Amino acid sequence: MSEIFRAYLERQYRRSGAVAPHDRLQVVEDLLDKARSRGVFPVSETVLGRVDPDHPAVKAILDAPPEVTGSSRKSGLFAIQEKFDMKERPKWQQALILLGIVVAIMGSTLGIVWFRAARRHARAATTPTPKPTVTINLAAPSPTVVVYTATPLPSPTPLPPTSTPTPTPIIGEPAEDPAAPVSLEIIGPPLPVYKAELDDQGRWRLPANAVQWLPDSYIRKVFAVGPALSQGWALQTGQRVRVHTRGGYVEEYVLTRRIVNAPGTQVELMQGSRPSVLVVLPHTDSTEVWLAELPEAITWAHMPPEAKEPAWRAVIVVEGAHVREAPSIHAKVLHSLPLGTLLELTGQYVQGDAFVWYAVKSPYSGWVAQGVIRILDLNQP
Amino acid sequence: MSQGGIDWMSIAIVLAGVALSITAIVWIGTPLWPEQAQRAKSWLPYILGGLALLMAISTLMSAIGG
Repeated sequence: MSEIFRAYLERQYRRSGAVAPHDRLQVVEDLLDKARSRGVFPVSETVLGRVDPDHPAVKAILDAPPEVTGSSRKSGLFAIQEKFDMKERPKWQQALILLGIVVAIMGSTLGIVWFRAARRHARAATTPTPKPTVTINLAAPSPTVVVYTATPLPSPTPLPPTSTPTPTPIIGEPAEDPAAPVSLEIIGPPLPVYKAELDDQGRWRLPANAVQWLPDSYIRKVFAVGPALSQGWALQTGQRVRVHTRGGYVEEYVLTRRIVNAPGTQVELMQGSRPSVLVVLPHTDSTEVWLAELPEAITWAHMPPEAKEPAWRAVIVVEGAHVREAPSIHAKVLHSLPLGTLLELTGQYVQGDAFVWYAVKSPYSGWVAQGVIRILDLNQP
Repeated sequence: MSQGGIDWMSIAIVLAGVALSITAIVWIGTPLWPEQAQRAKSWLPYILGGLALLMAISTLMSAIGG
């Protein structure tokens, strides 16, 4: 609306006293009617102009659409603005509408932000959090618990080696432990020693032309000499026996006694509480067993014959040591004592079957061989 | 999308909303408060320019953050 027409229209409103929108609309319609019928139009606030309404040019302008005449009619947002006519509204409505528009814009903005945050949160909730994996360093050795199972002695006790009619081609493997024997010297030059191998039944198959050592027999080293090597040997008490170890040490023993008709299941034969050597010589019709001890132990073995009082204490040093009814390896076994059993001896001792037997007072009554006990109170009167 | 835990895209969106709000206030308020609107219009380019710059930075940070 041009400023000229607005000023003229305001003047007409004041002159006609039109305040209400209905009255003002009537004023506008009257002006339009004057313009169409008589060609009257305002040229200023108080001056009117006039044209011939029937003139073709005037009629063309009056009948033309607003776009052709360059009307100030607005479209789009401006039309909305004019339609709302904010200036006609009270101040509080103006502020309220403006605030509403701002709130709508900022609300939409914050709504978009909230939606994005909610979607991100939902995505994180559905996505499983990768669990820390446990890394096992395969390179690092893991601690292992070694459960030691004591290897039981061959049961029954390994039998004395029996000579095989046909010598086996396999002699045996040499022992590798520094304390293990590598050669045995009894008669003649030192003979190489190999480790014995027991079969599934615990039997010791000795080659005829070899000297074998029973593995793990360190205190009482048990050797077996094949008949092909021991042929013609005449061993005697007092004869020296030398054992060469892998570590280079030479142990010297002395043959102290010969065990005749030694049965094969006697613990006393294979076990010893002090360094000694057991030499087994299997023959075709019999088996010769010799015991060799350290020279300094010989005097200990020969105890004075007088009985000592009070009783001595001794400890069993061989698992399953026998307490017999009589001082003989052929006597009836009364008890089998575990390792570490304390005994009280009467002090009486006798020699039988190449062993020295001690009379046991408690906890059991009987006889035990010298090789299975260690006397604790040696000098006790 | 976010770098260092900051949602830069959301910041850009908020800045856009602020710019729209300022524009709407000036545009609607011009016929209502002509004098105030004239003074606001003189500062409007700088305000909208600053907001556009901040929006561009936020969008760039969002793009860098992946």
